[in-house]
Amino acid sequence: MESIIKSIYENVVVGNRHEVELGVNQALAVDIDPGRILREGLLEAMNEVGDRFEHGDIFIPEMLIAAQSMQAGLDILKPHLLSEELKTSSGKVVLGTAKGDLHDIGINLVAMMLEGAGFEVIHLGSDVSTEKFLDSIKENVPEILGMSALLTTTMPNMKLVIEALENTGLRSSVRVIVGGAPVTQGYAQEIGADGYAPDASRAVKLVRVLLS
Amino acid sequence: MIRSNDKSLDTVDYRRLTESQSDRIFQGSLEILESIGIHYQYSEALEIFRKGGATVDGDSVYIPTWLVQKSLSTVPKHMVIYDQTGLPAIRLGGHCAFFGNGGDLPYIIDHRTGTRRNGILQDVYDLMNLLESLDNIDFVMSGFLPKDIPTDKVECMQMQAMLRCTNKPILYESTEILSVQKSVAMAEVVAGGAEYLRRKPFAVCYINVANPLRHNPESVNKLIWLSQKGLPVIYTPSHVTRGISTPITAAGFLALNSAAVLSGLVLSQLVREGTPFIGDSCAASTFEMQHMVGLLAAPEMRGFNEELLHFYGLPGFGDGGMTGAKAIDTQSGFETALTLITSVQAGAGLIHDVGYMDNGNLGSLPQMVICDEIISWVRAYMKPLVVTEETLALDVIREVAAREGNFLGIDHTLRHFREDHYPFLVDRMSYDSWVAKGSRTLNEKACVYVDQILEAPPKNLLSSELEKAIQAIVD
Repeated sequence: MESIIKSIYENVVVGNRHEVELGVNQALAVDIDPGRILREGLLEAMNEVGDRFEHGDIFIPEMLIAAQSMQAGLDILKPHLLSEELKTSSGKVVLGTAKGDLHDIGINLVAMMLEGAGFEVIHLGSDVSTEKFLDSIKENVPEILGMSALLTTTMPNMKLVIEALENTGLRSSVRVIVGGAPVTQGYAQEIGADGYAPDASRAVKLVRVLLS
Repeated sequence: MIRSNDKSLDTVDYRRLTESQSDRIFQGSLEILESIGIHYQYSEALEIFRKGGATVDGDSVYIPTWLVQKSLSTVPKHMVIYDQTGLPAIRLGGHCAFFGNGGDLPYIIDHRTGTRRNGILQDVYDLMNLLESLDNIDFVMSGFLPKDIPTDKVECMQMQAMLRCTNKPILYESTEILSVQKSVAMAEVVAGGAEYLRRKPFAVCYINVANPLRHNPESVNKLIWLSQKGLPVIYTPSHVTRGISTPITAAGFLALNSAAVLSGLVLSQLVREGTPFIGDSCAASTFEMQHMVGLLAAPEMRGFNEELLHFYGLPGFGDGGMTGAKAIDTQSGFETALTLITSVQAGAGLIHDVGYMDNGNLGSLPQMVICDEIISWVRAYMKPLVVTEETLALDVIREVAAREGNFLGIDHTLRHFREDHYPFLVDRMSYDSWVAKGSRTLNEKACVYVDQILEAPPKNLLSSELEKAIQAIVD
């Protein structure tokens, strides 16, 4: 039993998707508690992946396939998880890139890493209008809104979303985090965001800190 | 599919001389050797030349072309230099590049204080421990000329430090024949005997002749003695004296310098056919006429001497990674990088003097770390383009084109992304991350690395038995 969970953990860390799927199926077959498979096999492995990335031991492509293999495991696991366990997911996050910005590589990675860390992610994709962000927040009531911009010309559109949240009285219900290559801690403060992270791994940490 | 008539460029195709240019310079060298003559101020050498077929008049030696050609046919065109454990470390010959520091720098910038001071014996030990840790350094030289030990012990104690701290091949130099003999004796102890050192040489003597027209007795004595033992020698006749001991013009310099190298080659082959002889492929030749300084990083001559040695088929002793700067600054960065990349492109062979500052007067431990970083960049730059189905990746492009997404999260990227260059200390972070990590410059990071290496307890790679035998030779 221990060895099956350990093998899932290790295969998530190295991004061996096929082995993760096999491991999760095997674990379910021998009646290991699905909640335990989730926590000890998948989520803890992604913590390790985040740490390794921050140490510089692994790079983005390796973090990405780890997240992908984690997700493959999660897909198999989901029908077996109690709705309670799915929600132990530490919170809900709405993500999208700024209006006019089609660059979604970074935010896709953030989405995967957040899911890998057990958050429920509603990913609106790229070129998201202010209205679309507001609608999703009204509908899903997330704890966190994450936006990103790669272009200096689209960065100000993140500010427009924050202003719209204030005008519609939604601002206090959600924490706003921003990121993207030209974005800085200073810019995040300037536009009234609650947080900034320079990369996907630290975005996960930031969300955890904001929700703790 | 089977392809045919496919050709790849495995490295850069860098030329500074054509065959016919090299041949004209060679002809010039042959004329110098045959009819102008070279002075050998050492009677034993004159006797060897005379018996071997050269004409000797007074101390002038006139070497006929056939003798040069014969020597070029008996000298090994390729040779292996081993590490101190007997494993092949450097396969020298053709266009190749191996890297090592230089020897005998009088001054050091103490990285702890930032001040310039005399080099001491501890600096040699610190440097050797550092070089042992740097992956891009293939061989070592003494580094500093310690001011805190008796002059007559300097060369032995440098050799002792190199033997204790590193297993990398050693290039040693000394003014007196006695210290060459002692250095060889020490190397023989480590190799397990004279025969073993000859079969698997890990120490190579660097002989620097002061004047290409007049070969001084000490240098010639060393060349003969080492050739008798069949040990490899490096023979460089006119370092940084263009315009003083050679013509100022490039072609004239090359003709005279290579005549002097070839005369040494002939002597080594007359003493013992097949003696491994490493010629001068150093590019530093300029004597600067405004400030009276021998320049190490001047641009004009880079690539020529290297090219000429390839024309002869001689293994080369080149130079790179040097600067005239007195501090680690922008000048040191660009001169170090450019002299490295030009000598690598020229395939200079044993590229020494890496990390030399102030035109060969000054050394710095962090500068060696920075050089290691530059070499890793050059290594990545020199990697050939590989065109295969795997690297052309048409199937991968087809697959990604057919769906939404990108190349980031696919196996193909994962298989290959680490083939790219990832530097050790060079900064690539975003501004915020850089600030968060302390806003450190490359020099500051190199200092931290040096301190980490020097904090480790010193280790002695010699067994107590070898240690005793070597100490006896030093004493």
